[in-house]
Amino acid sequence: MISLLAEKIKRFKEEKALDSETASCLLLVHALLVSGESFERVLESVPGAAGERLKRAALRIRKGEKAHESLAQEKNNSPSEYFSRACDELARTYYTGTSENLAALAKNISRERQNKVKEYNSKMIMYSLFFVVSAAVLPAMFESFLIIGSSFMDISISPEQAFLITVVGFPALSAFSVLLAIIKRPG
Amino acid sequence: MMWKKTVLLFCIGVSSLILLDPYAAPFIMTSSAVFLFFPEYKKAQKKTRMKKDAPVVMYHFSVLSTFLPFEKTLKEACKRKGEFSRELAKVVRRIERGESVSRALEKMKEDNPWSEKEVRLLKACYEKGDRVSEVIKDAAENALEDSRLEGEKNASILVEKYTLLIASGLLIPGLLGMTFSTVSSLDITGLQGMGMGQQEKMIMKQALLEANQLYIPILAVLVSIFLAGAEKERILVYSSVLVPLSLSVFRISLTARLL
Repeated sequence: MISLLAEKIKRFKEEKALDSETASCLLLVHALLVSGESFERVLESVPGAAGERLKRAALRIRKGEKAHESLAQEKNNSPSEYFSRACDELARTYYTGTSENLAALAKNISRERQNKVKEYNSKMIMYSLFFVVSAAVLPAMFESFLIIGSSFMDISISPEQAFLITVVGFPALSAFSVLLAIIKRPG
Repeated sequence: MMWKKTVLLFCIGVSSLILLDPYAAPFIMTSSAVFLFFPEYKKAQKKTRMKKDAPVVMYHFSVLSTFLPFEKTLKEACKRKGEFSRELAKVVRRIERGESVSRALEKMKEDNPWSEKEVRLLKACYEKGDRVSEVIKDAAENALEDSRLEGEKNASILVEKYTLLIASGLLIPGLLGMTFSTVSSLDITGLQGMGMGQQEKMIMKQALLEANQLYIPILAVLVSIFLAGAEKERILVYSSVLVPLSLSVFRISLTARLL
């Protein structure tokens, strides 16, 4: 269970890293290809998380695997949608010999990321409000209800249950609200 | 180094909570944190400034490289203000001292590992001439767009961080403390019906007070984990400041009554 969760967190982090790096990596690849370097050498010289994956692909190409198969393998293992698209375009570049398509894709990705950031910014207030409500307003209301309500109503919550709800339930709810904001954050 | 400072800060936090007045703990913690982590903060700021300057300088470089030789372009580019230009000025000085261009650029990469892409582009430009300057211009334009995007994203992350900090350090303990003390002090003996007896009510109040005293540090640690993100050593830094601060605010607000 914990290893599964750790794996998911790792993939989530990698997805965000790949999302933010792919556009600039494509432009670097385009620049290096224009400068006349070989395809494999260019793939090997890309830094970052995207570079790691491209290095693996380059290594397989050097060993004799077909470029589109090697890049497809990285594409299938990639958690990032942008990186998958980049792999397709890289395979196309390998066979056509022109890298203009990489620059066009990089621009498209930048535009899409821009839209995502704008969308996230507009949702930010909602996430903040959700956190404050779940971490402050709900516990305060719960305690007020218990203290005042228990004076004249038959409340079936015991002090032990109230203690557990406050110490476990509310932090879990707050953690969920913060996690939601982090998961939705664009890469 | 960071871990040592973090542990030191944590020890200061614990000892100030135990040995000194609990109300003084947050002030001691905050001033210690500022004193200990200011150099790291300055280093991080420098890196951010460099990342911000790099696309502008690269754009300038790509334009100049279409009609100037590489070394001359580099000299012109480093005349601009900013951290990245200062790093390029170091490269120029190394070249003037007789080092090869490739070696000088490699040293820049070693000093600033994040600048690998820029160094690769500069090297490509040096090796292939103005053939790649148009592509460098494209890359610089894209990097400018990216840095604008990063700025927007960082602004929203900053809002998120400050919301979490202010909420967990001041707002939540303050609200809980005031609500608890106000509600506990209300005279509602006239409403006695089928509710709990005095004894049971006292137990409930005690349980809630203890739960609050535990909930507030738990929340502070939780918030610290989220604020620290990938930099795990910062969890202790944030916790060392937030836990004493939130507990002190809670204790102070327990003495306040709204009604």
